Amino acid sequence: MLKAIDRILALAAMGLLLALLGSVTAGVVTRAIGDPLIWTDELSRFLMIWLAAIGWMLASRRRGHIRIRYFVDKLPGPPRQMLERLLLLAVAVFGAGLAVYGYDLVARNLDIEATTLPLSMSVMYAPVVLVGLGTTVQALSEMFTALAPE
Amino acid sequence: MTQTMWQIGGVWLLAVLAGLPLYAAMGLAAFAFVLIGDMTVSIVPQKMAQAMNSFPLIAAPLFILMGNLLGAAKLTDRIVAFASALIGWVRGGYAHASILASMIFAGMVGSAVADAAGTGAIEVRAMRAAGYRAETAAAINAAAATIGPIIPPSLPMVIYGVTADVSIGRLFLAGVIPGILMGLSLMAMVAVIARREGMAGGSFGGAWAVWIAFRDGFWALMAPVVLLGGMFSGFFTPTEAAAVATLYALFLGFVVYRTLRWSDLPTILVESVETSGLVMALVMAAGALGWCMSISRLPQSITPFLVGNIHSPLLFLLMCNLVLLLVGCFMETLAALLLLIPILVPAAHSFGIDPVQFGLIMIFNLILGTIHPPVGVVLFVTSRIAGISYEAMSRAILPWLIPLLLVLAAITIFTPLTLWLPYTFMPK
Repeated sequence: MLKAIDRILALAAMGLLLALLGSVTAGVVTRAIGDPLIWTDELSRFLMIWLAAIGWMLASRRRGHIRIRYFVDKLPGPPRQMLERLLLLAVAVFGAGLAVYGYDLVARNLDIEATTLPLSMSVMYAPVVLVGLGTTVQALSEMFTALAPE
Repeated sequence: MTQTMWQIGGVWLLAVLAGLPLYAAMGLAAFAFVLIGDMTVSIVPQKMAQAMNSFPLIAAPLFILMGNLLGAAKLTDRIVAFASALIGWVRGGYAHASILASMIFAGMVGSAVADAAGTGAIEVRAMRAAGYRAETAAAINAAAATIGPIIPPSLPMVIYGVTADVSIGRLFLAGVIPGILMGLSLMAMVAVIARREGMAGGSFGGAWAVWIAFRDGFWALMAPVVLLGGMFSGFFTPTEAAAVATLYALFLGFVVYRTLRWSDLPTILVESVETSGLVMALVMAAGALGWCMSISRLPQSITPFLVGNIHSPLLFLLMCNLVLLLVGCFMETLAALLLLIPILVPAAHSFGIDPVQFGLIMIFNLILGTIHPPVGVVLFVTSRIAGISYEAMSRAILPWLIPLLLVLAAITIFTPLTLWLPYTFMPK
């Protein structure tokens, strides 16, 4: 299951980055030949939001997010485990907040269309829900598995 | 509301020091502010998404991808060979060559870690083979890596430009002279240390050898020219230049030098997105928290205090240098930038300091944090490359901070060092 999720995230990451590169390049090329496409800027910005969300989740899966470990690493075993659990709980609460209130945002923007693309503005806000869910699930799973008593 | 923000800030700082990931700490602070203030809570995810809805910000993942492609294509070997042929024959020549190679590589990558990791192995190996002490070789590599985010392209400059609403093109131009000064000041330090430690140089192979090395590395050496030339000629925006330079990196790796394999590409793409995700999680959370800070009028309450108690712009800049150097000791560069921009940039504006110069000063200070203890990430990278302990690395780097601090003082005091180039080529 986890391997499948990692694979999906990796495929999405590759697709989004290549699409972003293609979209920005298309903007440059079509402007150079005097026939600029009007939707490349907006498409690039939409892709960027999705790319950021996928990158965020990849970083969560690999526990790569930036944090100050200087003080927590100085604590002895049990208090450190307790603190780590508390921190993961805080991350899970944050992710849940993003998912719940992000969903609200998506629902309210369903009828609003993007400026140059035939897409709803919800497409721009949907990655926040996804990243909220991913953050919560990852934090809870780390709480209950990786931090089991040594 | 200002009081609420101060209280939330206190809890936030404790949570960050306790080890809560920075993005979550910033996001939770934003949620706490809107909940206590009885505002619409969905403003937090909205501001986070809107922080990403920026065309200039797209330059960030593309610069990260370009740097990763150039690193994987092993172009650094050719750059170091060229630098060694050019200057490697003087006393301490391999150290001079290492700094020159880092300066050239800085024109391709936008972060100090990427510069250190990209050039570190080959530079340290060359210096060690010439009999230089491992600590000295590693310290030179680490110090030279700080040029990476000062000479354009620069990831911190993209983030500063987007967050503080400053032209990224001007910031890039503003970094050129300070970046060159950093290289020259480090070379001056090498000249002093080389005599004391008896650091040898190679033998001069003649102008023909320099030409051969230049010819072999020509296409690699042209990467900064493609990137910066397109941008400063006004043909591309920084984001577009990043896309074109990325395509150029692909062309070099797959067609010209054939050092990249198709099987390398998935890993490079996924790692680039992951690194971008780390940065963008911070940018998104800072977008929401920055909005809360502006609503709370926290910066507006700090600015009159600073203006009332500090009587000259220079004194303000010196104070900022001290604060930023201290913050850089404990906090990652981009996170510190995102947190301090809403507070310090309006204050700098009140003192009549140009935001381009102030951006350079902020970035310079925070980058120095990557090469001094206790949490210098570049020190971790180079100590591992050189095979020495982090403690030994922390001691070895100390003398090399002196020339960099002198350059910092120079760009703080002499405004034209940062502003002459941007306002000559990109007038207001």
